[in-house]
Amino acid sequence: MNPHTPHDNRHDHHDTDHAAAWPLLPWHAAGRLEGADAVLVAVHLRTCEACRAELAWQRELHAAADSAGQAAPVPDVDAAFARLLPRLDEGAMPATRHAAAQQTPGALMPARTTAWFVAMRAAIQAARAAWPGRLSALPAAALAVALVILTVSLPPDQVPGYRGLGPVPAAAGNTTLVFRPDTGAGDVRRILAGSGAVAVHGPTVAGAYVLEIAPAQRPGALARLRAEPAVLMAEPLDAPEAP
Amino acid sequence: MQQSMTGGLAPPAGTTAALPAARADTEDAQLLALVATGNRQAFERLYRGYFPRLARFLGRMTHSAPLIEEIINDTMLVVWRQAESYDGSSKVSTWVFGIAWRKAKKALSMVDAPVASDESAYVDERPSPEQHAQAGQLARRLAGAVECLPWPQRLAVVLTYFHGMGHAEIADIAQCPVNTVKTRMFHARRRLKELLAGEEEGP
Repeated sequence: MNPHTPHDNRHDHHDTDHAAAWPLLPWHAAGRLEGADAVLVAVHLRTCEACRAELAWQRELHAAADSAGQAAPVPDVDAAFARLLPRLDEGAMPATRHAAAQQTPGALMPARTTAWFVAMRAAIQAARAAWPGRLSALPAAALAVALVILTVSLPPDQVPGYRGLGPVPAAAGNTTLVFRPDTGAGDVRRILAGSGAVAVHGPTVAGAYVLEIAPAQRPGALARLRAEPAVLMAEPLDAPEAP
Repeated sequence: MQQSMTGGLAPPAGTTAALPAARADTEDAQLLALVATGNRQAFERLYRGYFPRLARFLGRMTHSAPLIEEIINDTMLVVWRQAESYDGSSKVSTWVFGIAWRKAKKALSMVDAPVASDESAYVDERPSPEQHAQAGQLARRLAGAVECLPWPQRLAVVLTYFHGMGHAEIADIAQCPVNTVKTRMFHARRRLKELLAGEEEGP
């Protein structure tokens, strides 16, 4: 990789460093090197005239690239996004699975999706009963459609190697939680953290979160959640309480 | 997921002022966590944030605006559908650019050598008036020379000089070892010097 004839064969150490430093100069010029690479280049530059000259050239190239305009016309972002929008639902609900799901949802829908759908249906029913003044004002059909779209928009069976950003809860959630509309993000985080729950989905279009809470801790967690002024509703999903 | 959900609960920040890279990536990760839940507002924010960067990147691969839009939309559709598969092992931007590069390779039917590049066909880079004339000229010549490089070298050069990325990020995007990126850059640098020395006295 060393493009230079060694200046002096007696200096093997210098040549080794040179061979290692030279390829890194484009990133050293941009301050993008870290750790051992950064040290190696910095030390080598003190004694290598060729690398110092190359570094100056690399800095010129970075500056030139910074000052370069667009190489091609930039498409209009609004028009481009508008053209993408209809495609968002295409993969979310392919016709074949949609039809199959309507016929035998339990058998053909992914288990997690089915559980989530059932959970949300129960949540809507519970919310309607407990909160008739607000939620029932929403067109029920539209809400149901929106939830179905949300439910299958990212089906787990189409996502290879699902890992998420951290430990993935295996369950589909056993509790639903709805905050008052004016609740700030800080309160949402504080209340969720204090509940000991794992948020597995949300917020939905109805502003609901689905939580997973260890069964033994759930009665206490529900009581704490319900005591929060910001919480409109905290309900078990698997055994909904009487409306 | 717990971390992503609680982190993702915060509404998108209202400001888009220049953020430090690390903070911008944290915000990207939060948006992506929301996208994984089907949140379209978060997706639109992510889309609008990446659109100019991807357009700038892809503009070094093709001059066709419709094709650039097509590749961006194909890329962001993958982001929408596979947001859950992002595992946090790289920056969000690295993940997105990696998808864009694979989509570009497919869309442009990339072969070993680029289709480019007649120097007379170079798009005018139009540097702003206050820029030093010489720097502007080098910018224009560099942009033209980049288009003469084979695709893998062009990718490394574009991401290094035009997007300020490090060698490890480029390796992630190109899905190759870091040493391969260094080798590609080594050959690309030599070729750039020859190309840039062509018109004028070289560096």
